[in-house]
Amino acid sequence: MSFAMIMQLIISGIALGFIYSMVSIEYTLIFNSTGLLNFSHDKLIMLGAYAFAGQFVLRMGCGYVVATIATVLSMFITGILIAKGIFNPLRNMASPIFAVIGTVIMGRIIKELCRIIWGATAFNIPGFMKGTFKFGSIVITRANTYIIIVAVLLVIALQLYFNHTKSGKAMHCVQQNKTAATLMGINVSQNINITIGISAVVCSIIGILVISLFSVSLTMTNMIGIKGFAAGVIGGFGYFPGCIVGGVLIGILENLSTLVIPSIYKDCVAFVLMIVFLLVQPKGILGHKK
Amino acid sequence: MKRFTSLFLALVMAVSMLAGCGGSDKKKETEAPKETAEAEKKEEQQDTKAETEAQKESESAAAADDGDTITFGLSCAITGNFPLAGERTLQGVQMAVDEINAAGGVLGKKLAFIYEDDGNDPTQAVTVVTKLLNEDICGLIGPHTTTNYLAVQELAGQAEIPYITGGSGTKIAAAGNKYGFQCRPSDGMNGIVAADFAVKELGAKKVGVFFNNNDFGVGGRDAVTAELDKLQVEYVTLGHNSGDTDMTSQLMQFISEGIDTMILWTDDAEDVVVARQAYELGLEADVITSAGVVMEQVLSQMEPEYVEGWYSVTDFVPANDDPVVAKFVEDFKALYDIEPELYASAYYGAVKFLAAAIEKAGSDDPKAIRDAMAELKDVEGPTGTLSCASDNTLIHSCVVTQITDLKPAVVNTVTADFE
Repeated sequence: MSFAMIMQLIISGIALGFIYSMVSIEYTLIFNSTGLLNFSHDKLIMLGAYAFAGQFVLRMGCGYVVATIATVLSMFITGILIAKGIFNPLRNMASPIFAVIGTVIMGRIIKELCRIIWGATAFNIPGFMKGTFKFGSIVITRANTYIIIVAVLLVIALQLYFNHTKSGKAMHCVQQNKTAATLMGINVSQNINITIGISAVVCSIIGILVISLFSVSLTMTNMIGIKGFAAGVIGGFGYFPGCIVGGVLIGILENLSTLVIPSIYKDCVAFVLMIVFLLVQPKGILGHKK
Repeated sequence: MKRFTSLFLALVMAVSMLAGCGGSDKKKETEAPKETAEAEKKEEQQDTKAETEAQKESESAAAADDGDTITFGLSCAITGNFPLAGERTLQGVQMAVDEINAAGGVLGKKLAFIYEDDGNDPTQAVTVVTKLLNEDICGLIGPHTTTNYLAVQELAGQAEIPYITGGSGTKIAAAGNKYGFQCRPSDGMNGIVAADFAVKELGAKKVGVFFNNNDFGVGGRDAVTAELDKLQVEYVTLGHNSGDTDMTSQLMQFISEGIDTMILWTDDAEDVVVARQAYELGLEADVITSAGVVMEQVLSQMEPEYVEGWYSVTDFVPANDDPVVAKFVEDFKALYDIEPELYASAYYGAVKFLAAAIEKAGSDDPKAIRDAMAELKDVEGPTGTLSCASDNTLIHSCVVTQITDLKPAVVNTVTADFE
């Protein structure tokens, strides 16, 4: 067990951890705004990847920049449609279970639609985000570098938006008290539409970033969907800095755990940690109180 | 009144949307983004044709069993996490059935099949197999994968319907169901071939055995390590789970252990992840893998340098001079405009074997067909000669292939002794 090996495990753990963090941020946005969990969030990430790779790059031959903009825009619209179709109509029903089931079913619909539109074959974009940077015996892949940079920029952008723009502040109000927000003249439904649109945009960015790591397939996001949830619980549910801390912690710990336990139990680390936190420190590491 | 009107309008809208989707989506069903527009178009047409024909056949078989048709059941994964396998299976089976019927059918009757979608899920497989077993079928093909086989094999056994699967796990033969048959080489054999090849041909001194922690991978690992024990070669075993997307820790452990050969026993998606990361982390070792990696749909996800020089122990590659394989590949390409892979070829062979067994039995009685299958030898198929051994395995040969510039080519064909 050399120093280089431990460093390598930590670095790839950080990169994967940032993916969990972004997943955690994406559903925290919706949870904060509507009080509901979006159980189709991993399918939205997958849809983003399919739209970018399958549709814009491979079928329409767009450049990466154009394809990214097109994907982000189309996913924003998709998010708003989902808000209008599921979250807004269902959130005020007798039980939140209606909206939750609505999102579960939507996930299945998205998945089968992707299969029908882009086919069942997994595929990749040749040469996309390929390559590595080498520092001595430590290897950092180009994809991992991009993931870390984009994740950091994304958190900064979201923080600026929520704290320094009028609509961002309005989202805070909606999150705290919907009735009071309505009385203050905030259009709650429209606000929720935009929040879910932003969440879908974050999903599409995650989708684009993980293409070179996971290939585009119908099962590409199964595991990051669940681990992103664990990241939120561990870091502090409903709080962005908590998402980052939780995600990165899971990423590093599950990689380092393989030094002491068999690697097939790696996935358990995130879930055992999540249960421990739920029992001992339900507020998460950063202990943020809403 | 207003409420009724809006309800009515909503219903009309929903129905028209569904109808609209049905028409255009059907066409798009099997498009792959990387293929040319023309190829796609042709493929779509072929697929749609194949599917409608299959549906037509199944309908005719189910609706009017007038004694002129012999029907078998097919369970494959059209949806779920492994839909491509199901699609290719359906294409292979359809092609075999068409060929048999064009040559006069079986026992002078038309061969037909009813298919159900098992979603590659053991629970759903139990449901659809129960449904199929209640139809008037003479045999059952699929579901695929060892896990699904183990979930439904007792049902088929109790119904006394012969059942052929393309799962390759060692647990299939070990289950000892006399109605269950395995139409792909068992991992018991492939694992031994891989270990032998590593030690005898590549001169391995220290082997890293990297396996998927499911029925398939663990079976492969056991076969490989048993053979390595016999050959007295040092080895390290490490596992990963299905769906894992980061293998850094395992690959780093292999590197620090200083292995010179890695034997990788895993599924398609994980093959891609391991190939990329092994290349990025600079694993300097010969690699021998299980069957899946040579398939076009897996290789197309990789860069050439990731798998350059890799070996694979498999049952089928399209680039093979063998006349049976060459003819099968040519006919399949003519029909569907894509290269066949091992699921299409294995299940094509399974249908040919079932048809031969019906002929041999001289009736469509499932019990008689099972007994005929158990004694049937030397049916030619694209994955080798199908001959039933005492443990109900049908294929006893496999090929070692090497990948150069994403193209697998046969290095060696190995045939095992069986009884």
